[in-house]
Amino acid sequence: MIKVAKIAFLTTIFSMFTAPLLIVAGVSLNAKKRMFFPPEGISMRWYPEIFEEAKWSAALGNSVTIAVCAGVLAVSIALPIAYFLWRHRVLYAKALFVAGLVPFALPPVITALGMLIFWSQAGYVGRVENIVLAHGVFLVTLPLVMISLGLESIDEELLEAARTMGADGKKLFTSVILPMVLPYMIAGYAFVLVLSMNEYIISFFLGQHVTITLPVQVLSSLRSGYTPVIAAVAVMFVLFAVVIFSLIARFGDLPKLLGAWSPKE
Amino acid sequence: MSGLELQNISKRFGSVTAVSDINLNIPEGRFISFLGPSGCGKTTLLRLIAGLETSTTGQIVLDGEDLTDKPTHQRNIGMVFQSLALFPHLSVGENITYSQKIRGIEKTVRRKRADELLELVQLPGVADRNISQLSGGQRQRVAIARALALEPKLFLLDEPLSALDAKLREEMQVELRILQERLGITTIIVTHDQREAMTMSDEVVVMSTARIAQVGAPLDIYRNPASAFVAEFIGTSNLLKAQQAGGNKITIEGQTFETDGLPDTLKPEDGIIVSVRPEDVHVYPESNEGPNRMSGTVTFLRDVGASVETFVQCGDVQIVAMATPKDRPDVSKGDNVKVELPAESCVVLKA
Amino acid sequence: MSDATENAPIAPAPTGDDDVIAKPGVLGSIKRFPFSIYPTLMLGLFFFIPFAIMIVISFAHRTTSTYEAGFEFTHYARFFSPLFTTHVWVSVQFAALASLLALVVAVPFTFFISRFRRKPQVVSLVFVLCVLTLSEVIVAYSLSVVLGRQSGLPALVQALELVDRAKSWYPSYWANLFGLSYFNVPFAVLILYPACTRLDRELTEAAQTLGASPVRTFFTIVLPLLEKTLLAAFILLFVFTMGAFVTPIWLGRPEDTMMAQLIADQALGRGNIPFAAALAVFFMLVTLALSLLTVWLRRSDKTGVAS
Repeated sequence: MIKVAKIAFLTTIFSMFTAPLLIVAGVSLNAKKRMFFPPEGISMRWYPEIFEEAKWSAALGNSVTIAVCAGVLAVSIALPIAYFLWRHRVLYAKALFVAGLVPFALPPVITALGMLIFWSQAGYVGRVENIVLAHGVFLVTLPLVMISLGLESIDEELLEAARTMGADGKKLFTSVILPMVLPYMIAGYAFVLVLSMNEYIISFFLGQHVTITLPVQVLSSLRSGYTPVIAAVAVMFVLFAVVIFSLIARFGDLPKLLGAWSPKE
Repeated sequence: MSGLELQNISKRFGSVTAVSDINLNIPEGRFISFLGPSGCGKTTLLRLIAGLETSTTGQIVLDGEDLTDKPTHQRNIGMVFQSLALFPHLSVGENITYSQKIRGIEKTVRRKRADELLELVQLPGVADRNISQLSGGQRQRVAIARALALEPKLFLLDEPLSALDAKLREEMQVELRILQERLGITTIIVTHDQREAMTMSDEVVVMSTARIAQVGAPLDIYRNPASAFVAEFIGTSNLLKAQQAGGNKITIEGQTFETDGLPDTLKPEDGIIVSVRPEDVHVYPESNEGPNRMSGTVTFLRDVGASVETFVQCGDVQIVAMATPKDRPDVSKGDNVKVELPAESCVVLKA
Repeated sequence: MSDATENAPIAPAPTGDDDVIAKPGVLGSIKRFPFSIYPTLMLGLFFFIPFAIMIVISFAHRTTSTYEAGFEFTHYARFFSPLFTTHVWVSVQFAALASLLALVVAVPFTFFISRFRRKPQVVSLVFVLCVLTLSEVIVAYSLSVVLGRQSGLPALVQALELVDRAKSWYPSYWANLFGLSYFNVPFAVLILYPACTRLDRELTEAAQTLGASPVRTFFTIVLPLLEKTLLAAFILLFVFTMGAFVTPIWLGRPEDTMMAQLIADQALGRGNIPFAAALAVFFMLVTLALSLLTVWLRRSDKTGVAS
């Protein structure tokens, strides 16, 4: 009896979170320029349009560029902070760590406004670089937390053994620590990629209708006129996330990354 | 019809068989141990009885009632977990009376019962304390009290003493046994420590790789192990390869020995192993003559105070003899000796 | 330079020994740890300085199209205007309700997932992550399709002939609430996940051997042990929802305008940067206060379950 209820509950929830996306996928297959579900006539024509139609391909290009660069930026900031705190637990390191957590903890609109004001003052707005820097800083938190986790999980005895074999300082870092923490860096990078691609508010504020990212373009198109390209874009977003997270799950320890309790701890 | 009956129980997890072919009858009021090395299935079997796992095949019947399809909370059992599983957000008293609380028994009755039970486990007056304030041994007792609160029909314990230090452990073994006798409750304890099982139980169920290897009273199993595995697992034993020589005779290293009998199920072409307990082995000077003896050289002597172990190399086999200080053989390392394996102490097992 | 600290005694205490020797200020630390310059610079320049500027500007004097230097509290005074208080109240209501609803769904869901075997658990986590990271835009849009007259549930209802003419179920109060709760659930799952995995399985098993049905066990053992985490989760979700932007725009009516929209309106729509800045500062202070509350909650958790 209880088991039935449990299965029913789980099925309902999983369905609730898949159904809308399936419907959208269906809408994206409409042969005509109408947003019907079930779709009237099946056609894949809207998918190539993302790459062919100027405004969509530009938005896609912007989003990808920003995501790739912001990821590098975020990880490059996160790594020294995480390492710093792990190796030297001084107040400064702790403060820096907290500073790395703050941007993400605040609702994005606050960061968006702050950045806007900053760049307006500097007289340099609407550029891709603005968004790259904003995302890079805003999304530091995730790689920071993951890399910290990775460093914490390094067995001290391993490091001591390496030291007795002559590795020290820089050598220790490059030959022992870095390889062990690399998977976490990659996972962190992947998370930033996905989040940056999907990010709306900051991109909207800073893009100032000059640099338009994919999510911004989607909302803009929704307001002006409906085409199934929007649905196709939505499907692409989902597929992108699925691929990235499946890869992380395949090559990494996803439960551990998300904070699961390891029995030996 | 009272007592616990396991009929044809087996449990598979995917492609792994945890227990198979289990048939067991446990009369009411007995103290039983499930004994075996890790991975033998003893804990799985206990959990099956508790209802925490569902069997792949078979029935579980308690006092005539079929429990097989009943969920855990309807089985009226009391269980002590290896980690004790005391509820951290409840006090000692609240832990103990949890089973009563969810049945709606009112507060004063519960309080009284908690105090009763704490007296029973010799831990009076701690009802209001938090779990974290107790020592390991004290928590152990609270777990026992909690399991017995509603006077269940079965008392199940999963390696309950493994987290205690040696001295406390031995004390608890005795206490648990006394408690069980007082309450007369059917008790099953899972352990990998054969001394623990031998000390506490009326009957021992020895398990190995998902099956029951032997069931019997501790001394019976010790004296008459049913297989080489049991002989080795319970106490220590000399296990010697041997050959059948007709009738009750066997040969070891070419030497003929008399035995008290061979297993009925043994076929003439079967290989055999002979099990002899070290305390039954006698060591004599070389000149000694008599039946059931073989020659050898002393390679090692170990005197641990309470006993003396003599290691003798006889050809290709090593035989260990154990004696009390009073009866120690007058030999030294390197001496040539005769080793006697008395007929009544040779247990012949199928290889 | 850093080699010296790296070659410190082999004895355990790999990180602490340095602190005893030197208690430097920030400058001293920078000298000893040169690699900390880069992150400090990046965070300082591109986060904290913009914030400082924003705080300063919240006191600035607004002119017709822009603002100039000044120090006044006019913008903060507007907080007390009925329009503003209504919108804040609306935001708070939505945030509280959406967080509550999300938790009601997420708590049993996460609990079940944490008990799955490894493979199904990982698949579920991937699923949750995919939904979680999806842009607000995409989620709001997908839900609007489901709630829309053309191809969503209203159309289904019409097809089943329960009504004569289908009406779109959005924009509306309920659509907005649903969208906000929906968007919150994956986030709630991720917050609850560590704590759920820390729940010792034997505790719920023990409860069952003591006669508690699975439902009873959930309410008497699981929930009490998760208490602190639940509270922290609620607060985090609340803060998160308060920042909702696209969802109320797309699924809500004008009277359902929430904080983030308000700020965007003032900043971008009306060019009233100082007021927007004041709103943002206010918002930020409230957020920080609530976040500190969750940190305090986790620290004081004595059952050791909250992560």
